[in-house]
Amino acid sequence: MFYLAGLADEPQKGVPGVTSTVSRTEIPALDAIRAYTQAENPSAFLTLNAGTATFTSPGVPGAVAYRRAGNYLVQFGGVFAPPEDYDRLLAAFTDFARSQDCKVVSVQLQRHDAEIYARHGFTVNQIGASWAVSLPEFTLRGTRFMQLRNKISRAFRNGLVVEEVDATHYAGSITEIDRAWLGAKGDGAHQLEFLVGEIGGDGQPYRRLFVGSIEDKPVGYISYSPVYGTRHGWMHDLSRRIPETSPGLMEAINSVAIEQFRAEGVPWLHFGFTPFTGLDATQELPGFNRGYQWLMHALFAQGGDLYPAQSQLAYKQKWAPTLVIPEYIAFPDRASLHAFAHVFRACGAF
Amino acid sequence: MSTEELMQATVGALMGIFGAPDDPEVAEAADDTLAALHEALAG
Repeated sequence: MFYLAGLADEPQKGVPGVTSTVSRTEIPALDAIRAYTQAENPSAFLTLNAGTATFTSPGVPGAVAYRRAGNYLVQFGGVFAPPEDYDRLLAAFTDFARSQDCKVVSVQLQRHDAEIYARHGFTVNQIGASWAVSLPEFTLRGTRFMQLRNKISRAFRNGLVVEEVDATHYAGSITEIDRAWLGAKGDGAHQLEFLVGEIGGDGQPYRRLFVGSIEDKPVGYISYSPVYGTRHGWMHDLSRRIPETSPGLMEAINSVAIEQFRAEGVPWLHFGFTPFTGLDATQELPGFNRGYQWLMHALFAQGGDLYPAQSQLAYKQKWAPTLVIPEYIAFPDRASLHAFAHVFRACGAF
Repeated sequence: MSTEELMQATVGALMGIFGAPDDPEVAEAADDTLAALHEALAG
């Protein structure tokens, strides 16, 4: 089983310890995802993950993020480039893959990307969806959120204290929480990468971290990463907790973060991508593969050992998301189970 | 194969790739199975 997580802006004013030591010219992927937001990819910040490579082409603005797995270059998101250069950079990337004797498979494409890829002859299918909450009108009042409010109250009654902190001062606690979290998943469990948020690295000055503690001991955290574009805000990215500390722990941490974001006037809280969820036949593009479409439904219904999509979705739906954003996978030729499996391989799932 | 059998074969083929991700024959057979399922569902 593997675990995905999932994203803001400049380092924010008033965030303790967050200072920018990274200039724009040092991270080409960051330049690209901030400048070229036409696809509105809420997970774009994942391009900065350690171990994810950035492809650029001389004289062509923009960037492509990818990871090699077997003989595939697994591309994350679409091409982050100006509209007039999108096709050129995509072609340069596919040429580059050929030069490496690799095939391309592209994942977490947004609708904007998916339509371009389909025009270029890719077979494109929906693979899942991202979920987002509009914050200005968000409230936990009302019967709809009664259970959620009760869980949150219970966590605070158990002594939970939530605060926004500087990740660099909590490295030891984060390691301890991660170890306990992973240990509870069983012997074969290991942390996933690539399509999963992370703490540290080049992107850390741009993220925000909320930690929950009981009796001064950190017991859980949620990391939020920046989302750019018209639906800008933060993405509920990486979340971990020490098992069996208190019910409602993550919900309580998120509720504090939401109140902070609302106070700052942040318009969107994104919950990120969950594969096999939000599947909608009306969102498929011409030329989609019906077998692959069936497989996504089957994996949602019965693929919990491969990915716990239902439990991930259940957590996101607690917050009554206002927006479901379809996400796509693209194959350069016919739809391919082999390519699909290599998305998992790029994540370190096997 | 019936559509139902092709569905089962597709899931099996995916699992087969996890066990042998670098075997080109496994890859080709799996992708052929997926193509056959597509055709069956397209009816």
